[in-house]
Amino acid sequence: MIIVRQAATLSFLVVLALVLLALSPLPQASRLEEAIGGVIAPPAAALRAVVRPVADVLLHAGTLQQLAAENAELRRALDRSESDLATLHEERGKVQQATALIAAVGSSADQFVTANVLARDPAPGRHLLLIDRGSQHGVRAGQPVLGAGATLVGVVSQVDATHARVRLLTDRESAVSAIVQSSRTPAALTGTGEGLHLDFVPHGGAVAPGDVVLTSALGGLMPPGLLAGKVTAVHSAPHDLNETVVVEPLSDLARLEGVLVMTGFVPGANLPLSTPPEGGAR
Amino acid sequence: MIPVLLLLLAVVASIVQIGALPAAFAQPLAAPVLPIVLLAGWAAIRRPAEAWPIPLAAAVVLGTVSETRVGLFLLALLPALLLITLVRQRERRGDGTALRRLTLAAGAGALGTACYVATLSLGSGTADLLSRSAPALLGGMAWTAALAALLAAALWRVRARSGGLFT
Repeated sequence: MIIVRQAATLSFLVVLALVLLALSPLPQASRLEEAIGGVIAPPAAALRAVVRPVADVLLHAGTLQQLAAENAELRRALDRSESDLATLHEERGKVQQATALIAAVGSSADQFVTANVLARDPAPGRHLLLIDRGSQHGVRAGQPVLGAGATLVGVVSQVDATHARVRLLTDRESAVSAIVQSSRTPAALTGTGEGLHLDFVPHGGAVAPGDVVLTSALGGLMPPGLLAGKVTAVHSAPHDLNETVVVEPLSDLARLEGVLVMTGFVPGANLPLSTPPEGGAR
Repeated sequence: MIPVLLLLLAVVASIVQIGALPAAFAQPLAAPVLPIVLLAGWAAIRRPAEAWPIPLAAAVVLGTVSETRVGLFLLALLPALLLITLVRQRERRGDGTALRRLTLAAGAGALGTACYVATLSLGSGTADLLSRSAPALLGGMAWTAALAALLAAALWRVRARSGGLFT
């Protein structure tokens, strides 16, 4: 009797899983999941806020000496930056004039909404965040999302009324039009599931470790000039068409707590005969 | 009463999984899978058929905050329960010693974690992650196995005892 009951329970769960998978393309299923996710995410975020300070102390307990050296280096960098700041003040007037001109021609990429990270995608290999801003706050699929230092960390992939999912640059399905700042080499910045690669960089593309990678307006899906990463290694084999360029994100994507969504940017808005993406499919 | 208790415990374990563990583990695959800890620990000591609310509730919580669907999470959580069910069905009177049950919880926890990661990776098209992240996955399996064995030890006092002649 017990054996029959156990077999029936397991069979029921397997059938239920298959039915849920079969029903998952229905929009009602997505809406239901989003509604439940909206209830679950806030307590998860609150729990993370409690655990994180303790975890930070435990995780970095053995690296105090390294942190002290890093701190000294950062202080030296700060001194250098202060001298640069004086020069930059001179430039600011010119930039303000340019900004006014850009605003006059209709650019809307200067509007932001701040958002808190509620949860990370628990599935292995997925690099997505759930944030507490949605279509009610002007968030749309395709908008760039910035992290610390106004560097690009991802793109909004799906939106409901009060929440949105952000696909981080390191996710395997992430691809962003990019350009290498020093050599102006165009490329595609793609996620590998663990890090970032620059694709379609031809041999002799003059890309070297340390080069800064910016977003490119090519394709109209991204505003130009956002900081996206730094080249850490370049490998080239004679039989390959392109170089393998490894890029490091400029923000710590594993520890994001708050982000900025560029709600003023409408992907594809400046392209002729294009329609901006709405919503987003799971 | 037990199904409600297990539903609540599974929801709490899943919220801890998505809320607390990403902050404590730099490598996500190296973290224990708490719903499998609960599932393996409970099913190894109590009756496996009692444990059905655990994968159900955990799949709903994990699936709704993920891009991966609830059904796939449910499928990914079931191998641990299947393994314990199969082993427990072959048990004879006197086989249910503490050491055997704790080993079963640990083994089901470790293998269940491997199956969980494999199913989700295959389902989301990231199967090559398994080979590249093998050390982290082994860490996650070890954590899950250890915690499942600890939970099973803690539950030993409320274990399901073998029935008599007419029960």
